[in-house]
Amino acid sequence: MNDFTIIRRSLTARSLSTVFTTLSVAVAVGLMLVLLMMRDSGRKAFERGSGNMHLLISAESDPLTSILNSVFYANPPRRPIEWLKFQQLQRVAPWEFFIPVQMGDSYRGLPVIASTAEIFSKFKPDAEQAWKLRDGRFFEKEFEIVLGAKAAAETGLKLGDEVALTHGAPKRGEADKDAPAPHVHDEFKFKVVGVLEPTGSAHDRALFIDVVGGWIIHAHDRREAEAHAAHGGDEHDHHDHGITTTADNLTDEDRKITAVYARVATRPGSDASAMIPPTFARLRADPTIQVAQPTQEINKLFQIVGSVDQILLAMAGVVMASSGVSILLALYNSMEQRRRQIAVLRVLGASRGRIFRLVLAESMVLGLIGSAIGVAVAFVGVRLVTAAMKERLGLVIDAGIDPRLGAIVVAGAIVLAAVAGLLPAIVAYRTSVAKNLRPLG
Amino acid sequence: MPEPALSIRDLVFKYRAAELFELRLASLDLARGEQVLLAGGSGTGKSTLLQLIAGLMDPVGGSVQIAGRDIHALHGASRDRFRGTHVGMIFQTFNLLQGFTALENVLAALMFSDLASSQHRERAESLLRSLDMQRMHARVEELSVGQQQRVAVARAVACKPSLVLADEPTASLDPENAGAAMDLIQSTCRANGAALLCTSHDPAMRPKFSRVEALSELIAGGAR
Repeated sequence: MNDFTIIRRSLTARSLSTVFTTLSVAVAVGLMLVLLMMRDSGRKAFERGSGNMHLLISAESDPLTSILNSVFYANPPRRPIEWLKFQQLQRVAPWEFFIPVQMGDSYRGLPVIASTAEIFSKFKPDAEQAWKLRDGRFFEKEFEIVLGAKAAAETGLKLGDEVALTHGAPKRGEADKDAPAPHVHDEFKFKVVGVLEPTGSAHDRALFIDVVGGWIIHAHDRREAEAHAAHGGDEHDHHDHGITTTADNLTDEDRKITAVYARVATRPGSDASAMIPPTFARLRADPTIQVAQPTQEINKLFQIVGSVDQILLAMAGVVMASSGVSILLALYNSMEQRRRQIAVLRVLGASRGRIFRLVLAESMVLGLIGSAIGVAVAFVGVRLVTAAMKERLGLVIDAGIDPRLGAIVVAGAIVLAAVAGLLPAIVAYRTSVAKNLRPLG
Repeated sequence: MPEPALSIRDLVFKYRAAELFELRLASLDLARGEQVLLAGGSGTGKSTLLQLIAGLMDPVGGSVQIAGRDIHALHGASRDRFRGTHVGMIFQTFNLLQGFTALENVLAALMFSDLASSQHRERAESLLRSLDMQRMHARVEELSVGQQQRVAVARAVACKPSLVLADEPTASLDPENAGAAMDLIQSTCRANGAALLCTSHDPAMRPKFSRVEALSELIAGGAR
């Protein structure tokens, strides 16, 4: 028997009030933690995805959409860039890398990125960290496929496995109504040759193939459609014409890409370049393409999100304050019923100070339990939010609890609970023993 | 010669809020282990006197010494601690801690004692067993009145006090049970070496005590 037994009995004696008071603290702490974690790790995730690229070139309608689609795989890009245009753009500036990227195919809902070997050798998904292989090697020719870490985990594929890709976007909007419906190309088997280490970016859930492999699938579709048209068949029944397609069958119509990851030449060890602004300005003058600076777009995005973020944090603060008030009310109301208990404890030898500390400790225990549940709520909440971000934006947020941040919020909740417990503790301190032991005889 | 369990001299008490009540007690002594019945009707100040003795109220003048120590010379936590270790109290309505088990009610008293915490459980259990209290892990509200009384008695003597104050402990019981309850209180106090000052307005309790004091004769003034 100790002070904690008394606190525990007191809390369980009014269990309903305890549960609701604790939950209000838990919601406040959980909300606060989720918002703080998402703010920091969300920004990091965005910064990681664009890595060491200076510019992203696409044919999308606006820069932010192009970043979300071509770097974070929110949706397959809608408009292609012709190969001739790519070659023309390549001559605009001295590039450190100028990597073609084609998207639109998928495997079990995961995006497939068709590119060149430079995507692994020159582009870094994180500015500080190049790609690392967990198993195998990078692709060297068409029909070889490399798996991002999460893609490998989600599909269960391993080295040597062969997969057939789905051609066409799984997410289809109004703009895609004329595109062919998604269909699996069983005739082209891609062999898994490598599995990447996690990068903490959206690229982890992608599968990477040689761009020529992607073009061959497109060319095959085109050739089947042509053969079908020649036979005067139903335009939706493209397949089974006994056609074999190889790289030799590619035409300029097949060689399309959806984006270019570009980095202008820099001095060794420097990330910035004086060439970026003029190159950006020059490309921007071209009305057929969209050019975006990932860093700027992410800043813009966070300016928009930032104000909402502040409002949400303020709301979490209000919820936290209201949970403090609910602790105060719960304890204050319980004082009426507990006057006799306090008087008995005083008769048994408890000092006023000890009674004061007991009530204050009870209040802090409510804050502590609420905070512990709040941390659990935050874990679940972050999982739900990151899953939604991944589903809707293709953004992989590796949100973990920063121990210092968690400790500050939890400590804040406990201090708030202690402050809320002050008034009930004062009431308990001043409880008259003589008055509250009646009838005494 | 050992100090008496209780020694009251020239005690004067007035309610601060109203001048309607004044209690004056020139002298009252209880030897170690002595059992005294303080007889008197309602409103004569029996409860007030017990609260003064326990240090729950402050007198205007005089002294109350328990085991040789003036309880009113102690202040704050020191007085509370002294009361916890030297004075046991039994109430008419028991005043047990609701929601706590029988054992915890006894342990609660030991929390504030000088006894090493490692011995609390053993002391509480042996006391309850000696009082034939079987359901020591049941919550007190689940116990019969008789069982609750046993818990209250065990709690009062748990810290081996010099003095047990019992305030109308049998008032809510029928005559047969009242007699048995008083026997239990007396024998337990005797077994634990505690003096007993018991108030009662029930004449049937008088034969159980070798010394009976009428409060009206002890006090000068009384209710005015």
